[in-house]
Amino acid sequence: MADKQTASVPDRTIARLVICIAAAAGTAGCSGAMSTLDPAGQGAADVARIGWIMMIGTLVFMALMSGLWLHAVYRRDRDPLQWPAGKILVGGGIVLPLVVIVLLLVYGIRSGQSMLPLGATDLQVRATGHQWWWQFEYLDENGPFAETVDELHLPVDARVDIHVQTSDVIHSFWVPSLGGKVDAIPGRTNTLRLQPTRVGTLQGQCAEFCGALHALMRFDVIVHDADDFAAWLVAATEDGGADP
Amino acid sequence: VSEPGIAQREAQEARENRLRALETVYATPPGIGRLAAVNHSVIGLRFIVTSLVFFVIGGLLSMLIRAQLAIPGNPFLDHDTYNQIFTMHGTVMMFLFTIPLIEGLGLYFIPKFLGARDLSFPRLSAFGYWCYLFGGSILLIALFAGVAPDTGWFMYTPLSGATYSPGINADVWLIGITFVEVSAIAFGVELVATVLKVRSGGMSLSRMPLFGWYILITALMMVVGFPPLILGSILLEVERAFAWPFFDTALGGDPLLWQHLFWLFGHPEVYIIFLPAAAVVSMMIPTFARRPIVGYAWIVAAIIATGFISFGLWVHHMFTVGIPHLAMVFFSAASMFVAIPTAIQFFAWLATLWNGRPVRRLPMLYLFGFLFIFVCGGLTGVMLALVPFNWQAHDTHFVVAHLHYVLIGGFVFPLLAAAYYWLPLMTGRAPSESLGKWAFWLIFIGFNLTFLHMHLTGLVGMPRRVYTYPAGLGWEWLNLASSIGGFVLTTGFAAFFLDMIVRCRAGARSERNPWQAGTLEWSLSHPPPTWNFASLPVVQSREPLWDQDGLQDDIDSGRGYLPTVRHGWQETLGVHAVTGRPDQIIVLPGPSYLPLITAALLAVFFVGFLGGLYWLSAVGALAALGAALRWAWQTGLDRDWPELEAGCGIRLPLHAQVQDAPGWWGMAAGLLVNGTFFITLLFGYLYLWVVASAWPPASFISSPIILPGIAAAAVLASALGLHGAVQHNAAGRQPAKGLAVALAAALIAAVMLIAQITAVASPTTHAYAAVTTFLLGYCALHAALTVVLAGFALLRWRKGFISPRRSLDLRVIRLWTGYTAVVTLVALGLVHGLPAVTAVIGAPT
Repeated sequence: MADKQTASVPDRTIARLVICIAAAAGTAGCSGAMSTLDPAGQGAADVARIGWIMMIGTLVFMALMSGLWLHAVYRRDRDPLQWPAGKILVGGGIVLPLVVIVLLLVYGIRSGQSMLPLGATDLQVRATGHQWWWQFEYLDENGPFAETVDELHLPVDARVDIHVQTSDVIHSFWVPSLGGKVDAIPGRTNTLRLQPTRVGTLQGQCAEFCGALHALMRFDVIVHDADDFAAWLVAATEDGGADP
Repeated sequence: VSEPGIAQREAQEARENRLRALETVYATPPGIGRLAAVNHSVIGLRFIVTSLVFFVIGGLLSMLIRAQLAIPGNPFLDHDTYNQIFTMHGTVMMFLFTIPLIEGLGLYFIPKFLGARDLSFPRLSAFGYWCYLFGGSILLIALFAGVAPDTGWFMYTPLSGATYSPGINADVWLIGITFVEVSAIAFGVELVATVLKVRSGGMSLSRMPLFGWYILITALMMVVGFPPLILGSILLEVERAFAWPFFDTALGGDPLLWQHLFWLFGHPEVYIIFLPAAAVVSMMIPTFARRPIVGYAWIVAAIIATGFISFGLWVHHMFTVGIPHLAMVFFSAASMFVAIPTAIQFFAWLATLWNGRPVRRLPMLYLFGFLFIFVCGGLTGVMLALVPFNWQAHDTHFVVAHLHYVLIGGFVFPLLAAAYYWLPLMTGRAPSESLGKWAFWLIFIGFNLTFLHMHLTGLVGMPRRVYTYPAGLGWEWLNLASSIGGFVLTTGFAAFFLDMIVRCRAGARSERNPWQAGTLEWSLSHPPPTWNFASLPVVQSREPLWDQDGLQDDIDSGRGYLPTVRHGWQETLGVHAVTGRPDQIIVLPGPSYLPLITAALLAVFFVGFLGGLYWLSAVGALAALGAALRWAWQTGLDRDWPELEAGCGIRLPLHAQVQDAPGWWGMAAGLLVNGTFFITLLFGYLYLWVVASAWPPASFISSPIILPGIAAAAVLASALGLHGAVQHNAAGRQPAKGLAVALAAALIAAVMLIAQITAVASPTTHAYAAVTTFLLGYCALHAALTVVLAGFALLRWRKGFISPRRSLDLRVIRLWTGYTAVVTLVALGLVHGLPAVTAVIGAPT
């Protein structure tokens, strides 16, 4: 919330612009249960915004470079233009990319902030990759109190830390419409913060090639509203963590 | 008959006699003798043709991929077949197509651009070709036998380890690719020595065509870029074969060590591929702009900057593995800043076209394709370098699209342009524009139809490397369109190959230099003879054909360097590396079966390992060493020669009698390879020590300090012995005593180092023991090779190959011995010092 209050005016303008483009793109086939461009979580929304900005930038630069080339080769007057080479090289080769890169880094790198496990958290889940299924354990201070397989239940508007690990080879935990992916690496636990922003059923998939049936290592993510999640949690805990 | 007529006829006769003599000396033997060929044009063409065959194979594999993904839930291929196909598509395209094609281009063109008759070490390039062919064949045979690698072309452990990939598939990759990489190393060493030493007189570094600069930096990048991959492959193969747990977390290893080693190679690799493509662009643009390149010095600086920066980016392939955030920001910034040297090159090309008089011929059309597609790939690369975006796009079809934009845009399109550009030179056939234009539009449209919206396929959630996908996620139409585009693209390539074959078979004869280019290769007859230049040009400009009137006639009439054949030698000029002043006559080795025999024996080593027949491997390795020594024996001179006539009124010494011979540079470049290998090994050692979780091990090395002390003293003594031998020889005294000291000391060092290995726990028990054993084994192997080389030098001296003036053998072996001493001292210090330090300050957490 604090983020939104301090957001600067250009930020809001950009955000509005991006929402308009995203809405237009959504109708053009960017939606879907696994789309990074149809965000249902804070991290995915932040990345989608910077993603759209960069895609627009890419198109602008492609148009610029192609235009310059077409002019250089297909211009009507083919006599040498005697343009100052030093200025072209400094301007196009150094100043232009430098300015764009610095702006992009300064503005863009913080888009990942909401996916870092910083500050208080509302729920902790341990996600363990196995060839070729996912095991989700819901943790409190005493360890796991509920468990599901290939189905992850989350409460909406909560900060959830997913502790990703593996029992065999490298996998990668990814729910595109909630946020970025993080690898499950032997001997390590990597933590990813997710914050679902709307109720519904999403899909996730292992993103790192993990052998024969990698393509089938998929899972569902069910985002509940708070009451619903509490009810599910009670049922799942009574279940003793068995596969629902 | 008038007087001028007689003079003319005599000149003509002299010219024909000289050419006939060159013909005799440079002829490749007929029939089975072709296997002995070492000439750079012959070997270069073999590389090019073989790599194109692999390109077709890789392309057919991609068609199978696109067929499978055309519709959701397609039953066409099962997962096992699909996983082999996508792994082999990547492997074939990266290792068996692009890199060998670059090698072919470099080998074929560099002497023609630099005004030389051949490369510095023609037999080495022939050896490289056979290693490539044999290594590539191992992979192909595995593909047809259905046991091809199936864990992705970057072979992440532990999936590629023995537990999860028990079959031979992963071994095929590790062994086949390592065998192929021998050719990349050979190319790197050869081209560093060639570009620096083997040019024509007057070609200073600042007059060198940009292609030379690009290839020099590419070769240096190969020299330091490939060793991490080779080390990683050896470690992984040793883990698979003998259970040394380098990557096994339970026993002190770490799978991320593999990723670091792989991408430490893998990212420079991208620029190793791009720079030669930029090189051909930089050769074509001035020709079609009808003026010299703008910003020559800027481009040289940009190439060098690219070389350096490209080694600081590898972690951007690993943004999702859980690296500290600050480190990611650093690598993110570095990955974006590499755009600057690339932008400098683009604007230098644009400025050349603006300030020139552009001619719109077919190669320029392909260069537009290059610009459009590569710029897009570069920009999506900047997007991927932004960490948060990378977390979403990594390992999706967005990356698949990005890398194809970079590699097809940044490599294939420039090479297609180059094929049309140099076709008249290489085949003597005139260029034609009709079918080539069709091919361009088919390839250009087909490519974008395949890959442009594939960015979107990734962003709407489709991971890469999946053999099937469900309907209902919005992926169906995107994939179907890509598959259709893929077939259009293939049609385009078929049209291109058809055009090339038709041109080569039935094209009209081309005049010389049809594009009116300015660089030396266009002064050759089309196609060029194997000796290239009838006499080597006196270079006074960057574009000699534009600036030096009558140069063509000077070359053909023997008014350049080395116009006449003597003693049946193949000769070319060696120059001062910077100024281009001629400083030696290089006598090139003729055809030989030794490169083929050595490569075949090396194949015995590799295939033996693949089959688990380790005794056969040992036999193959020893026999290959013997063949290499026999090969080395044939170099050099068995008597002193005076300075010889070199044309243009100068006399020069033979290369075996100068300090600055290509052989010395070759050894220096070889040790740069070796040193990078060693430094990477140290990186691995320290990385495991600091990062891996199951440390410290149960026990460190335990030996009385006197034993490593003796080993250290012995390697120092062997280096000093060789140094003494060089000094004695230079002063006209016998080098035998110094060589004997070096030999004996190296023998003691080898024995002591092997004894040190026994003081370490069994390498299968812990990664510490494994990596320590490996490090000590590396030093012991070097000490043992020093014994062999010192013995070799003694024998050479006895047989009269070494004199005060002919000291190259000794100086080359001194380099090796000094290197061995340094690495052994460092390794012993580390192996004994680190446990001592740990005992004092405690193990890192």
